[in-house]
Amino acid sequence: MSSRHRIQALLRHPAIWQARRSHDNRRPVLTTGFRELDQALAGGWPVGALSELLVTGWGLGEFRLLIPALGALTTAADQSGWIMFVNPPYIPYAPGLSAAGVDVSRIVVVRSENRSDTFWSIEQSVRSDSFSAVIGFCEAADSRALRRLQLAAESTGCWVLLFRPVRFCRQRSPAALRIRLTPARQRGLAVKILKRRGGQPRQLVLDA
Amino acid sequence: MPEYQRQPGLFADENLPSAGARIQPGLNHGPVSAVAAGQLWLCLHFPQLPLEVLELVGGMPVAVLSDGTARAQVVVCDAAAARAGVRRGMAANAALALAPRLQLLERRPQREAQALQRLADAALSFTPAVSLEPPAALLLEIAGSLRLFGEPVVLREQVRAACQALGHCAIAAVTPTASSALWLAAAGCDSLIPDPAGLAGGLAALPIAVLPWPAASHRVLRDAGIRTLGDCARLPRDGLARRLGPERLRELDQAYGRIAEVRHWHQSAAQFREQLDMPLETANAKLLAAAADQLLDRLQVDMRRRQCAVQLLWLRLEHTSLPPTLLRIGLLAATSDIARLAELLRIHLDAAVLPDKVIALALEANFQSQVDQHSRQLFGAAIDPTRQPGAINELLERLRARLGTGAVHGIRALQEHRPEYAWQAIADPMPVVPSDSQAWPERPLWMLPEPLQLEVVAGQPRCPGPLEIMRGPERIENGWWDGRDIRRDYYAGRNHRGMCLWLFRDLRAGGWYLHGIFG
Repeated sequence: MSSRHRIQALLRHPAIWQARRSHDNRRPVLTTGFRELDQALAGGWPVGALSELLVTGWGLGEFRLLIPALGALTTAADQSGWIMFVNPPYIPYAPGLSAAGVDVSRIVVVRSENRSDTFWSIEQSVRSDSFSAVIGFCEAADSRALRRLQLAAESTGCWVLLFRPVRFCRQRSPAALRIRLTPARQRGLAVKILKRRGGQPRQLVLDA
Repeated sequence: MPEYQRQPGLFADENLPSAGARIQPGLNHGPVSAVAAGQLWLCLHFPQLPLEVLELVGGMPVAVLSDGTARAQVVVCDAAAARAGVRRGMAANAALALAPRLQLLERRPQREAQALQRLADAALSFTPAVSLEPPAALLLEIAGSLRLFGEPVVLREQVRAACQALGHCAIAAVTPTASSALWLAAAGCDSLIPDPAGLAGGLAALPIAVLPWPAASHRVLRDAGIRTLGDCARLPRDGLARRLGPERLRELDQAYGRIAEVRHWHQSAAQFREQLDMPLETANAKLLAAAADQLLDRLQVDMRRRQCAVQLLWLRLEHTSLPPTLLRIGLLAATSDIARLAELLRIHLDAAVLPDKVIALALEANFQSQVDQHSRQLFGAAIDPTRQPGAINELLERLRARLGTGAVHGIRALQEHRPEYAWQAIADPMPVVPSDSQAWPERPLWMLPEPLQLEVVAGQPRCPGPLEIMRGPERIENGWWDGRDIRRDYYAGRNHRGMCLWLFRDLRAGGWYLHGIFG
């Protein structure tokens, strides 16, 4: 066996990951609707996993970033796409969502008063297997709670998103995807991918 | 001689004695009326009912007293007390003298009535015609059920087993008339007289003493040396009517099947109401949930029998001195899924703040006709073809149980120009088919619950720094008819932090407000 074949055989070992093989198509994804972001995320939002979006504030375009995916989920032909908002900072404004192409009749809003209720509601919604997306808004979270959400998402294949303030971006997290969102210097939204499965951190600017 | 009124429309049989028909003297010699033909009555008598409804600690002989007064008599006693010589009708002191270790308990008529109701509900699975005969008997008309259940003796044993399952021991008599079945069962005879021809013979030996007649009538008969129903039936009718009154004669005629009698059929209540005393006072949610599960088991039996579901449950937790705590468990859709109810109940119990320890639990529910019934598979699991919508309802109920009813809602967009009224929170999220014809104006994705007044510096709004206006103005002037009219110029702006804001200038009162965030 030549040395080349030996290297090939070695590279087939599942524990070895090649940077070249960045497009990992085995994991289900949901297209983001933004071409650059889809490329950066190897196809789109990871479904059946927890994603964390760390934001500096509201009104940066962070919600607009999700709109194409939400629109696709709620208007899917199989009529199964329920979307849950847990503890949103403001009222999800139905006319605005409708104008953006989201079917608002498939949205459920839950308000909770404390952190444990927020996480309980998110986890219950994810585990119920009737929601295709669960979007939670919270501040502090211990990594045990995050791990529970990640496991719940894996078990049902739900798209779970958690919005948190940007000051938590140095906290360790079991989320499959962590993105920091900040306003770009000129216009648009600066997206910094802090962590993603099988990929390197990178940064891009979207005109969202 | 009394004249009998025929019950119009009760039986279609034309062989009934017509109004005013004279019946031959001597009950035994008359033909057995066709009233009795085609009917078969099963009477269940529960001699131990006052004892069965009490919680017994066990070990000691027990007797139940008629009331709490000094003149109370023994109503019923258990086998150990009976062996000691305690008999029905004895004074409490006499019973104690015979059995010094005797435990004397007061009768609980209300519980007996409830138990009888429950037994009647159970009997409804054998025949629709069940009549309550308080204090301790039920009458079932079973002629129509024989085709399904087979021989009367088979049916009788099945009914008896159903009573046994509820913890009640029954004497069951089967005869062609209701009164005779009642009397035979009260006398403790497990008679089986399927044929009207055998009725007279079967009743002949019945002692007169078991008949629910006034003491005066009993005295008259005893003084005349009449001990059994057979003796009584040999008496001439007119003499009997004169001495005892026409009522007694009519009752005898009914028992022998000469004239029809009316029974009120038991209707199972549209409500479920069961109570359970806690074995010990507690505020522990786990123990309370275990007790509530017992009540739910009874609810499940009831629901299955009635083929119905519940949508609203009340759990009442009784305390010693404080008013009871009420927990209301509402569901989005009627269900008969007991596991789901048990889970909701547990969440409610966990969240409940109890002012004191609980001494008793009561569960109440209104039944609804079943809407979402699915067949059960042979090995238990329900086949549920519509899992998706059911699953979301189940989740919403669970969330509401913990967070409160108002905390969970859906949203809806309305065709309305005023931004505040262009959306609505709806209690039951329900997918609607979107109509493509609607064109929505450019609107933010987030909206503030109330417009937030902005600081104005040199005529320009600040939030928090200077704003760069990107779009606008969009004039919205509307609502003069309902007193909530607005006159505003809306702008889309961007602050130095890169936030896209939706703000307006109030043209009526002046001032700048933040109303939404583009997100």
